Amino acid sequence: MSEQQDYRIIGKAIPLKDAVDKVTGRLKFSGDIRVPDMVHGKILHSPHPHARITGIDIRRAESLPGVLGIVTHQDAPAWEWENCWHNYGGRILDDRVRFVGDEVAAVAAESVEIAEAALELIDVEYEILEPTFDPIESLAPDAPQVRAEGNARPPTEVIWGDLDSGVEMADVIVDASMAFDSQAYAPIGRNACTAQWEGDRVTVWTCTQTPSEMRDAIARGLGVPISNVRVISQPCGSSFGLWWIGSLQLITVLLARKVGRAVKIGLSQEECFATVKRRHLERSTGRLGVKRDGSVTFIDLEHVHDNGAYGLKPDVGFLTVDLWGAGPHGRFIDRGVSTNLVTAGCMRGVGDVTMGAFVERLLDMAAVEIDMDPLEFRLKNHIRAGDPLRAMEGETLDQMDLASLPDGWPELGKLDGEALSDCLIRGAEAFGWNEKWTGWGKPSAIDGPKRRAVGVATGVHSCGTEDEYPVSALVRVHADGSATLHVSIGRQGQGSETTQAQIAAEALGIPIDRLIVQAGDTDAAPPSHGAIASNTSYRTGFATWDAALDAKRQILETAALQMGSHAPDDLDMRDGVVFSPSDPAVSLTLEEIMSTYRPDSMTPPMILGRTSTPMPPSMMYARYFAAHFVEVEVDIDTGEIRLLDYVATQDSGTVLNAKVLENQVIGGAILGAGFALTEHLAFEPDTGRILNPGFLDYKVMRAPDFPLDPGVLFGDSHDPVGAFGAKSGGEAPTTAPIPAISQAVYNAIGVWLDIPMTPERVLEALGKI
Amino acid sequence: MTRSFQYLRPDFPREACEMKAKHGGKAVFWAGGTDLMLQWRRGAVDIDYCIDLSGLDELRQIRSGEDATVIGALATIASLQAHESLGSDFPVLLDMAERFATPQIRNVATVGGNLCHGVPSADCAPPLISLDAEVRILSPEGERTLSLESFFVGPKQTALADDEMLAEISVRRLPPRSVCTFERMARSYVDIALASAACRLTIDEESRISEARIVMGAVAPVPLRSTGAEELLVGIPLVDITEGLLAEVGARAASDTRPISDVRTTAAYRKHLSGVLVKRAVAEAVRRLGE
Ligand SMILES: Cc1cc2nc3c(=O)[nH]c(=O)nc-3n(C[C@H](O)[C@H](O)[C@H](O)COP(=O)(O)OP(=O)(O)OC[C@H]3O[C@@H](n4cnc5c(N)ncnc54)[C@H](O)[C@@H]3O)c2cc1C
Repeated sequence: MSEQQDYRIIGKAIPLKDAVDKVTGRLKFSGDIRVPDMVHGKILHSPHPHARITGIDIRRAESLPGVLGIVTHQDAPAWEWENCWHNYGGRILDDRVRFVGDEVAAVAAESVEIAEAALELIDVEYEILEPTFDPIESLAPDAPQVRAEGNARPPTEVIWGDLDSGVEMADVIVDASMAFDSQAYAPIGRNACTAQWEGDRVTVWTCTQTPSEMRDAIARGLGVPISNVRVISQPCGSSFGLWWIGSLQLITVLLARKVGRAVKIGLSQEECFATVKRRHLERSTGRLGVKRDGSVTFIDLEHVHDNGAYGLKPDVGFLTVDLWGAGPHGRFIDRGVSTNLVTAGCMRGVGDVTMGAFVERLLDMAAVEIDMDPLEFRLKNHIRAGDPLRAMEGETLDQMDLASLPDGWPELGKLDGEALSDCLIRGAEAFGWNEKWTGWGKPSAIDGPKRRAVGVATGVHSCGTEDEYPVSALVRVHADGSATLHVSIGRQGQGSETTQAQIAAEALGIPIDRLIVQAGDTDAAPPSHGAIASNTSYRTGFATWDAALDAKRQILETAALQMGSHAPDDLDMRDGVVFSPSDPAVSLTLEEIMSTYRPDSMTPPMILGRTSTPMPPSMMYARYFAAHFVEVEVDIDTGEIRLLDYVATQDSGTVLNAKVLENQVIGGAILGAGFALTEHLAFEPDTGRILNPGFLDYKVMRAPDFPLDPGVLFGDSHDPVGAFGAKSGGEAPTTAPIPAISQAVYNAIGVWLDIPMTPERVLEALGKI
Repeated sequence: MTRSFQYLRPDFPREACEMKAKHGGKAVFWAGGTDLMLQWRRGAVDIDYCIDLSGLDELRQIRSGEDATVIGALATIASLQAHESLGSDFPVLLDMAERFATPQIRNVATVGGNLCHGVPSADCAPPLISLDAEVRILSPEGERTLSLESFFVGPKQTALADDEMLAEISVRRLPPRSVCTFERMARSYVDIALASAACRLTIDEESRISEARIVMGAVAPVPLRSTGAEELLVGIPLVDITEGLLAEVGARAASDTRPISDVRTTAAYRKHLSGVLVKRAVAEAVRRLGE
């Protein structure tokens, strides 16, 4: 990538902009917000998984001294709010509860303690309805129906080629099924929401990855113009998809309006775990055919995911089809189903973590049959640039004529580029794959009850999505030459403020410390799709880049006026100095340009750069990839699986900031490995109540549970569309750990396991318990 | 729900017992608070009076004497690790402490709190019971001594009466040619044990096992000693300890367990695991004695 060496800021491992504030405790989170005159709210949750509220008497609670007001379903608009990507559909408060933990009412009081005491004084009468929990059983037409729309979402299907021919062509056909428990978002930090009405204007302080979408939802739900809603997104400990739009915020806003005071509701750890969202419970079955030479002839997969009470997702995404769709024939079906469990939604790597792991399992089982090295098998079959994206074939773009795409757009429906082979080959080298691989089902070392073996797997995710919302940014250049970037992405801690700042400062041509990022105030930032679906580096990055270039264009035009003899095209800016590449004698600092007032120029005191180039629809051509290598040790007496060595590689296009991306890759690998081995929500069988709503019994991996010094490598690639060639970063690394670890476990002990691969499951599979 | 409470800070152990006697069931002793804080936040304990034990400096000490080592109930897990001779006298306590929680928790969590909380998974219990530890208990009227083994009565129940306090744990110097080992397994690095096992073996001059202790954690309502498994070992020369005998000892110990299924794991797994851990603890003790 020859262009890269000229960059001043792109590609530099600049420390996170808020790192020092974080480690010194100065950073303020949503729970730290205090506004004058604020009172405290608490939410009453349903003890029943499925019931109709036939009566709700708040008089005793209201008369408790210090209580200011209570909202119930009677105060909620009939309007059903929707979260992004069908992650929620329902009223703010309803007269029906659909899971243990569902919101019934909320109290505002002078103190948290009074609010808590008041909750116990709300008398609710429930008419108990029959609940349904199992995803497969809930699909049956005679299952209790969780929602007015019915439990089953219409199946989503991707079909290409002709399955029967694929079956005929195959030398070997394998079939399998796999079950996934539900992973929790397990937020280390908790969220709070503070809402303050001034007349019919409301300001909301909370953590959200989607400030613009939240603003619009509040406006629609509360019946006020968008101009009257301001969302100021606060930093959070972690989100992984948990904090988008939520009942928390809508209830707080409703309650604050009713009591006429600013209200803050802070969630407990238990509420964060058990009442917001989780990863779907998923079940896969399928088969796959290969020829003896290792080429895939068909894939046929059926997947079911539960949406919990309020999720409405018809599918968890088919990106894995894109990765393995090079074979000529295939069929993927996914069915979403409602259950009386807490809502399920998009968690980091949604679909690719689960469906992807299942397809990789089928690949592995086929490779076992034809005895082909899993690395070689993947190198042979993975998608290449220019291959069709199967899930996108036949898709159309709303309101657009595909025959006349804007100039410079990549071909839609085909993958624009990848460096997956590069990742696999270099990863294998760094890991020592050839030395460690001893063949299918053969441990590389046996020491008493301990069996060692290795595994390799791949994963994919979208580089953001265009379906819901455009991306947009504003760059303001001030009179002293400093600049502010406004982007609506929130502050979930993944380092996006730093990488967006790098893009803006590089494109503009100013030093990074002359630019600050304002990442979550909807009164200042233009509406833009939030930091979800791996949007931020790729799609928001594109918008930021475009806005910065727009500002730069205006700066150079102004400079040209001031420099007289030079046309804007003759000028460039670097490190905050405008110069002429052809005439070294000419230069002006940005500050000089910005602070010189000329009657014929609008320039001082500010230039405003905005996004004006539409981002091509990246779902239709861009993907980013991961390939992970792992060595495990399985103790066949205790069932314990330990990770001994790990190498994670990633094709994220140009690396904007190696430190930030490395953190994403390792963090993603740990999150995926945690789901592979220890993480699962336990639901009480009769009620669906979550039995482990906190870190005491929900076991995320700690640093010592993961190899201390994992290798991280980046593939050599450069995206033709993304800012400076960058793609996305945060989700693909969660997708490869499960298949890599489960392949290694198979090699160690000869069994394929459901997820997570807990010690009990290992021993059960070995027939020891 | 969290409510406010009265905070009391005694200067002497006896005063602490008197406060407890006076305020009855809704008064609690607060040592490191690492168990209590979680229970209180969850609403699992009501606290009207919190008796903060942190002023009782004399109960924080660890004293090694000629015949015995005395560990004050308020000694922290970290102080076990920091003590100059405890580690060489009783290396098993270091093994245990190293696997206990995190450095932060070890700095505040006390040995007494671990035992008095009374859960079957308490990590201090199996090694200390295998060392035949005794506990000294204070009350407003006086004091009594009890074997640690009989201190545990049921889940979260100990032999302490309402006005009694655990003051010290004392461990006799081990007979020569003794080794004590500890095995533990959990779901992740920081976790309550799914099961644990401690084993102490003493051999006589002919290298025959003269004394054996096998104690398991988290597999019964209380930390559980398996005398049946111990008996299989007593009198056996070290050299005659075969893989088969080890398996038999493990199986015998496992058969004594009465584990539960809970959110952490299943009873079947705990039972199986306890056998494996006992076998490993014994094998390791035999290996070290043979060195
Ligand atoms: C993150 C985390 C990890 C943990 N990991 C482990 C682990 O690995 N292994 C393990 O065994 N435990 C673990 N624990 C549990 C806990 O830390 C230990 O049980 C600890 O030793 C308790 O001691 P404490 O001083 O904090 O007790 P406290 O919480 O102060 O007290 C516990 C109970 O004992 C009573 N009590 C305390 N001292 C006395 C006394 N002298 N006389 C009478 N009653 C008394 C209290 O009233 C209370 O009922 C962990 C806890 C946390 C939060």
